[in-house]
Amino acid sequence: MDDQNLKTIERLIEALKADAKDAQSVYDDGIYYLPRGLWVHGWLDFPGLTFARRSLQLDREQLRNGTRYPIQINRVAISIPGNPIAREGQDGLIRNSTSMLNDLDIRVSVPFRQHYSRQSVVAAGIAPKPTSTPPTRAFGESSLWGQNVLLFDRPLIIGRQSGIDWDISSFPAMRSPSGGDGAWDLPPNEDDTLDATMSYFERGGLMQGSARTHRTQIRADASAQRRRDASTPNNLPLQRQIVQAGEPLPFPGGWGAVSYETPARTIAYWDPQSSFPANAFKTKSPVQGGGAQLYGMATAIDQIGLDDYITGAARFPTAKPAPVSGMLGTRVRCRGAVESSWWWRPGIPLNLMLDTVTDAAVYELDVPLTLMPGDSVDVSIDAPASAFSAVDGYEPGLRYPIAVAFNGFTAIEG
Amino acid sequence: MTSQYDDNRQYRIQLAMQNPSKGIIEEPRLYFDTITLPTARFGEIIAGHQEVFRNGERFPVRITHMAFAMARLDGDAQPATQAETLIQRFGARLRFHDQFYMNNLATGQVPGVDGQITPIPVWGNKVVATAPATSFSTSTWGHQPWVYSSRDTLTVELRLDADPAEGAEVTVNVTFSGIGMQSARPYIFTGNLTLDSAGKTTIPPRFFANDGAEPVLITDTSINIGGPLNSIDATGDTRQVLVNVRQVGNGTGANWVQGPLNDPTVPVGVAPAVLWGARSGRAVIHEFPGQGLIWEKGEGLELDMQMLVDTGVDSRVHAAMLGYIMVQ
Repeated sequence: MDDQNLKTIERLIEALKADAKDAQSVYDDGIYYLPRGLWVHGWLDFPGLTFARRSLQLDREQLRNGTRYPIQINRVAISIPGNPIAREGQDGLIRNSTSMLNDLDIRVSVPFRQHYSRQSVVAAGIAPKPTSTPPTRAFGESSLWGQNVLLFDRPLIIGRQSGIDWDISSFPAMRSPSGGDGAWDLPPNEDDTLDATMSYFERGGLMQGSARTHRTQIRADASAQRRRDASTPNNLPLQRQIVQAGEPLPFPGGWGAVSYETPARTIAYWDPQSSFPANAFKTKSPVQGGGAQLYGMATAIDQIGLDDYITGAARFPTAKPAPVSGMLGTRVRCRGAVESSWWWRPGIPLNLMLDTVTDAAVYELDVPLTLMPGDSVDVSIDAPASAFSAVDGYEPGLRYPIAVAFNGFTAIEG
Repeated sequence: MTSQYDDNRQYRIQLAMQNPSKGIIEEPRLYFDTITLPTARFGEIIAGHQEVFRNGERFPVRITHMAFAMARLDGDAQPATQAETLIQRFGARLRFHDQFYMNNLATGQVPGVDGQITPIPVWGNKVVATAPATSFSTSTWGHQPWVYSSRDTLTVELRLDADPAEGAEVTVNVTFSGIGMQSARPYIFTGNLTLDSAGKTTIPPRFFANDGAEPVLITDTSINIGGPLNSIDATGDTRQVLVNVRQVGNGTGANWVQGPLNDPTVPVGVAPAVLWGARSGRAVIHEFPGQGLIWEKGEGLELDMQMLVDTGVDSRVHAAMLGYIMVQ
């Protein structure tokens, strides 16, 4: 083996040894790394039968870095949020997430820098990153484990007195458009809840690591129209918040609002019952002294009962339910730390933020994209023709939500 | 022209070559247990056997991964197949000298759910999914590379979790893959056997003999199980077969597998193939942070489990700790 090869190997071994050490020794460089990203949602409308494709420009302002610090983007995640049916086993009127991603063309550009492709590319046709859980044996099961995970690009060093607020939204109760039983409600009863666990992975302690885990229950909101909660402000000093006043959150095509037996109960979008507040975070520290080094976060939501309901009786017996993580919004921020703005604009679908293990389509950028303060990203979607026939395609008159997230981290010089 | 894989391969070769010069043998180890959680004890935290996850050898062991999976059959008197998705309804934690991993108690704001330990899916921090064609039937462990010397062979023991029905025999393939330490060319050693009973048997060692001219650095172990012979579906179930491996020649000569002690119906010394899937498979895989856990001689820890939601049946859950022993 010649000297050049030996030097390469020695450098590689040293780099691998450095990775294997406690990451704090590698990233203890006085810079505070915080998970961060930008996301945008839009609607695809199908006003009538048409064979023409249409172009949709997603709102650039929702993808603008309005903070004072650069954001390094490493991944792009795409999902069709809010649709309870991921795939149908029988031909029906409602096209679903799997079909939509294979029908959409997407083009990403960074103003004044580059287009990622000269022409639009089908969203499912770019080399995706493996992020899924193993397939289920039964088609009617949404997921083997009900989990979503985010492993941070850089460890988050947080002081002993600091905490993290993490909220998951309430579940959007909705009424199905069709099915053997006629229209039915999801969940079936307004008191139905989903057991959920929220967790942070942490290094340190006698066993080299631990997790801070919080069990919650996600409740169903039966409001006739879901609106952005007034508590999501649009004037955060460090991050611009785009709120379309009065604009409803996206319902999937054909699914409508449900009204349970009186009294119809309205659950706040940011339900305190499905939150992991900073005070609870601080009480679970496994380390007696010093700060904490977090390297990831995860959720596990038990929707076995919900899956059984969707596919039961004469509802959608051959459907594949979607994980509910695409129907829930989330928001996270630090408390008492260097910087306390929301990591993503509040309301990002859970499956787009936790993108290491997710059912969303995730693409890893070979070369990270750094967005300086004020930079933004342009995303345009070429939507498919609405229908090939009245019963084969995307039902006219409906609208489908689409959400795109650019995920990475921000570096703040402390 | 170099490819993106060249650096990685060179690193592995260099790493293996360090072993002989340092005189250190690194060999895979898998500790596992099967815990039965009766529905009558729903909500109770059930402690596993304290001697399972313990280094009973003379040299230190480094634990890198943890694996969890539902057993194929439940714990009822007439065992029936368990749904894999039920893993969402069980919690687990490790205990070591009054410290817990993960978390002591998972507390929340909901009445009745306080005191529940971390659900097993939340442990998963590694993507191990593959396409359906291989996910159900194949587990792969990408372990610390170990040296397979010339003239060595392997003893691979197999057993099914229950006697198969008439005509439903299954074929099991076990494959070890690696790189020649001098030629840097790929090597694959594979053997198979058709199993028709739950008795323990051994794949003939001749399949695995390294009768080549050079030692091989083994990096992966894969276990594949086919569908029943009388079925048109050739896809098997990795929960159905249990495996142990032992190197003959060099190495330690000891069994790679230790356990279980809690489930008396499962013989000691063979582990379900699903638990070998630290690189790809169907087990919930947790990769320990940093250097993982180091067990000196006699050290270990204990595992607790809890049924978080009443499944209505006596359920059985497998758990394993994977790593390697370092012998100097």
